[in-house]
Amino acid sequence: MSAFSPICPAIAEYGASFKNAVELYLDKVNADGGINGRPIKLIVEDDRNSPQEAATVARKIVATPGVVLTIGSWSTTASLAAAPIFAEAKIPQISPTSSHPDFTRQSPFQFRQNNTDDVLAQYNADTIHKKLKANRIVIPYSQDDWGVYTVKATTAAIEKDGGKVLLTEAVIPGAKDFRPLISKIKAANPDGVFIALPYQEASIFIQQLRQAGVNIPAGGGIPLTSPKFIELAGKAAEGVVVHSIFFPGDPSKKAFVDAYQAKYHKLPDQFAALAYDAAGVGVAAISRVVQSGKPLTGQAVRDELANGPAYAGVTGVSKFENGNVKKDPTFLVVRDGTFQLLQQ
Amino acid sequence: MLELFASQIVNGLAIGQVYALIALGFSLVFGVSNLINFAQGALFMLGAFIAFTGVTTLHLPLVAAAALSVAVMSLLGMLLERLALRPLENAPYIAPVLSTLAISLIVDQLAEIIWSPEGQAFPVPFEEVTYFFGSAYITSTDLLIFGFGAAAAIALTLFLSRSWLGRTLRATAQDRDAAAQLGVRTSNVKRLAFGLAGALGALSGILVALYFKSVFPQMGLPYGLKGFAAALLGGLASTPGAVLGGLLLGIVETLASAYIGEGYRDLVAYTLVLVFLVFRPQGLLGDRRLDALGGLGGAGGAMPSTSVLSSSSSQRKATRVLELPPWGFLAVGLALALLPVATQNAYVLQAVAYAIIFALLVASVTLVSGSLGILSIGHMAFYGVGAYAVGILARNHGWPAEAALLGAAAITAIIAMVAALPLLKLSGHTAALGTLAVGQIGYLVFMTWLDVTRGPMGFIGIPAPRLGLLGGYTLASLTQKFCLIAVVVAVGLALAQRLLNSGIGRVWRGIREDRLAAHAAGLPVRRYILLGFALSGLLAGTAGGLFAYVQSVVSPESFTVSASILLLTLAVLGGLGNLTGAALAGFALTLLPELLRPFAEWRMIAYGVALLLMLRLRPNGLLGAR
Repeated sequence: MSAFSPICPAIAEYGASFKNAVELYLDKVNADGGINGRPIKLIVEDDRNSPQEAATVARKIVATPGVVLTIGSWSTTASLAAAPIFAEAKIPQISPTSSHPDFTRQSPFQFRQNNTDDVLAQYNADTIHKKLKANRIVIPYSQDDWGVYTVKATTAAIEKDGGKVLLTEAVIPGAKDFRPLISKIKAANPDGVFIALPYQEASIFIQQLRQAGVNIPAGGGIPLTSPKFIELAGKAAEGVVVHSIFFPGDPSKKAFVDAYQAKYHKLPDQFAALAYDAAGVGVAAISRVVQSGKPLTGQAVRDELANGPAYAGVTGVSKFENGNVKKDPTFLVVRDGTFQLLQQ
Repeated sequence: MLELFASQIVNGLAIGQVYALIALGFSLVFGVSNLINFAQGALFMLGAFIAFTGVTTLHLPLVAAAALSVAVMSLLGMLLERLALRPLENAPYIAPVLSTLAISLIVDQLAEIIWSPEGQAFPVPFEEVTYFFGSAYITSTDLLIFGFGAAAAIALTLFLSRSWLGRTLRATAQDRDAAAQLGVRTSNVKRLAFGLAGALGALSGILVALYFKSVFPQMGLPYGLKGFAAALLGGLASTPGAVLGGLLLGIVETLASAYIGEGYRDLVAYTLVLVFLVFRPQGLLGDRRLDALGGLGGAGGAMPSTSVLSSSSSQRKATRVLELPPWGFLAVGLALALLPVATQNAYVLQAVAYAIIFALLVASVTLVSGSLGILSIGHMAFYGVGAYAVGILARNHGWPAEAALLGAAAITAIIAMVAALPLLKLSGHTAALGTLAVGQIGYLVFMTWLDVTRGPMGFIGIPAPRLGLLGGYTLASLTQKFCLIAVVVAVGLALAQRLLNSGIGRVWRGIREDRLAAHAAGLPVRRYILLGFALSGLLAGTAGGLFAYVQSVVSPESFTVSASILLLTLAVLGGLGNLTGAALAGFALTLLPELLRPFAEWRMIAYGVALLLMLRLRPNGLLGAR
């Protein structure tokens, strides 16, 4: 089994929780004697969140004998670059976090653990329009696969529900000075902003927005559920509402949260939870193959993943339909420097 | 509408003063040592992080942490001068520039290792206040930056123009030897300049950290480049010019962001730099007195020369040059094409394929930087043009591989030639800055021209190469693609070597050694320079096309300016102007990091150290500069 994810540059925070969670799950399985006494071996590769590195790393993984399942990568872009290589080698690929609908359309070997952007777009619209009651909305979005699709689908969802999107603006990865954009936002006079940016850009954007005296409600999607967002944005993060399919404060997830915290001394985030479930659903499929006595191949594991029973994990229930899942959202709000359940 | 415009101007001034502050450090060093200090961005980043550590780990108050950072950075600035520049005083003119590049590679990567690659929140001890004027606003941090920036600029101007020490600084810049004869301790003077540059770097780093309320190890390069651009717009050696250039840059890019789109701000900023290079290379407030003395090196050297390889103490030394004859490349290429017989391991083949492509790419860099003597810090742009061109021709228009590769090479050649037009009037370090702007513009165009390149999402689905001449035979597997690459690169390198051995190559080297003399000898210098760029573009475009075929996905982050810097490093390591050396360095140093994948984060540091050592011990490169 192998996992690949960014361990280097700006995305490292995501990559680390990803790797930690997979290792945590496999340690548990191996401590319990592995599958029928056979331990599962994990190979971890760093793709630096670059499609080029993802393709190189994928080649390296498929050239390693005995790999029957791979978990990765973090972004849709990197996952897409690796997908044809895994499809060709007939090794199933579970991306815990890639949300672009195109990913699972690549071949029958692609699976995901989170909702697709079509589902998420509705949750985005719910966050800003239903929960935060904004009707005149602006959306800054990051200029990558995820951002471009998200802004399109979210705008459609908001307008279907009767809201209005006044302004959408593409932001290049790594941008730091948002004041021109904020002056434009002020001029448009919205009553809500939905932030479709990675946490690093989002944390600077929200600080500069509040600094400019724009105190309209702000909502965000999955990237903002990272604790790093609150750490970087500080006071400006207060009151931001996000939706998530995992919340560490939920008592039913205590076993996972405690184990993760005991080992890594920090709370697991949504990415960790998704990666944990990706490992869980994958190991379940592998052990079903072993139990059935069939030879353990990538093809056999894929068939078990696609046709197997529903798997209840820490982020909800996984039942694959064309490689996709549908999980319910939890709405959270930043209060006193932490995420708390949104009371309605 | 007008109110919005006014508030955007205010926004532009706010970010512009940040750029101005960074630009001051550049213009100080340039004014004193005629050196473009690429390490200034690294000093700036390091200054911010030392203050960050002071506040968070040592629990110092901000003022004390800032003072500590300024003190440490002044020392580090002097250390930089002592370790990386003093030993190169009599080395080729190109050596100090490359040395600062190497230092910035090392420092940037070390910072990622020490402080983690993540951004961190910079604790701001005071409550920030925002002042509103209609829809425009400024913050207390803006005022703080303005206060410190203005104080630094005025103090620096007074110091340089009024004090005795300042005058010795300027005298040393004009003519080191004459200043020394008049009793100025020139080595102390230079050290002082770098100490001041370090202090300015720290100051600007801390203020920028306050502005964004966070610090990032990656902030050195982008803000360093902006600082450069600002210094260039203002006139490289002028203090008021740096301030003016920074403000102009800030306003222009803010307006671009406001009225064209947030994604276009950098594109517009670097286009402005290029426009300035063409029409007013001396900048807003600069003058061209030094140029009249025979280029930037002219004032200090024994004989005026435009050569990047000659030094101030002498024309260049004779060195032994090791190179392959043209047929040698064919033989090596053929041998490599047989590698799939030995191994079918896809990972090995892919890694070697990239290495072969890089051999051709570095060769294209050495053609311009070595033989023609125009340092290119933007070659990745040409590589990228080739890659996207093959993608478009093969995927959208269904061209066979031969036609797509030739088409891509031709398109790149034309673009390289057009890109060379603004560089024709420039020489030495200014030309290097021009190529830097070209490289940055290329990257930003790949990033923002979504209709064609899909920007950061990557251009996907490039089909496997189909050979039209062999009746549409498709090279589907990696093994087959590998053979195509080996053959194409070998033929490309053999032809290029043949060219360098011919009269054309000799003329190029003549232009490099002395452009004025070549001109006086009746050689059409401009035409030869354009030809050089076109042929270099041809090679780089071919390499890019092959890259697109192996990769089947092309995305802009393969074509960044830092990658271009790396290419130049490789060309220098191999020996400038030496095609064999370039190909060898490109091949070996692309393959090596694959073997050392677990130590990936040390890769850049190793390159930096290797470059520093090479400049000290073998300034003409591994196989000798030709």
